Amino acid sequence: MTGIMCALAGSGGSPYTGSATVTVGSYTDPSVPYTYWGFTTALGGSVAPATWASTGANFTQLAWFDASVDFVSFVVAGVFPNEGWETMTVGGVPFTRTSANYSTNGTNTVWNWFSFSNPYGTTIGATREVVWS
Amino acid sequence: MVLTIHYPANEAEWYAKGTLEDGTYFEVPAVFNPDGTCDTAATDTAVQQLILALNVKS
Repeated sequence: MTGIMCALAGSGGSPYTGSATVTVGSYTDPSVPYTYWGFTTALGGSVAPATWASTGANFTQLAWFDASVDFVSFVVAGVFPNEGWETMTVGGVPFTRTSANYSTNGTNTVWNWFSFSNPYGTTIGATREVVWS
Repeated sequence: MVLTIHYPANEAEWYAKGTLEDGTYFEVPAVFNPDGTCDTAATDTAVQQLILALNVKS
């Protein structure tokens, strides 16, 4: 078995399954307006590890946005297909991949879920485990 | 903003797929009528949600 095959076998066969811990940050932009809770590379919070499962891709957003539409956002750097994992669970709240809006602009890949309450909570510095299965 | 969109022929296809003017490719779970055909108006609303979310700069 090659090294790559061993790595895939060890993670359940998919490079997309794994977990990360988000330390909750928040920011309100009064000009838009919107508020987020969770992690974004531009605005704060943190995530460990910094990369998604075995992909090596950096997380860009793991957050909930209170905006003109409220949504849970999962964004990673790079282009990834809309397959290979089934559910993202944030603090025990499941988000099914097939119910997400998926998009990619060639730089980032985005999954957004609408009509959900904030799974990250509003306590700055609190942690939430995010699991992809 | 939406350059192209392909609505699913039936529920088995699940997603409406297309591109935005800036080249962004998207897949949105479609909304279906009771007879199993795509409710294009309701699906368009879901696509507009996607566009609004992508326009939230962070």
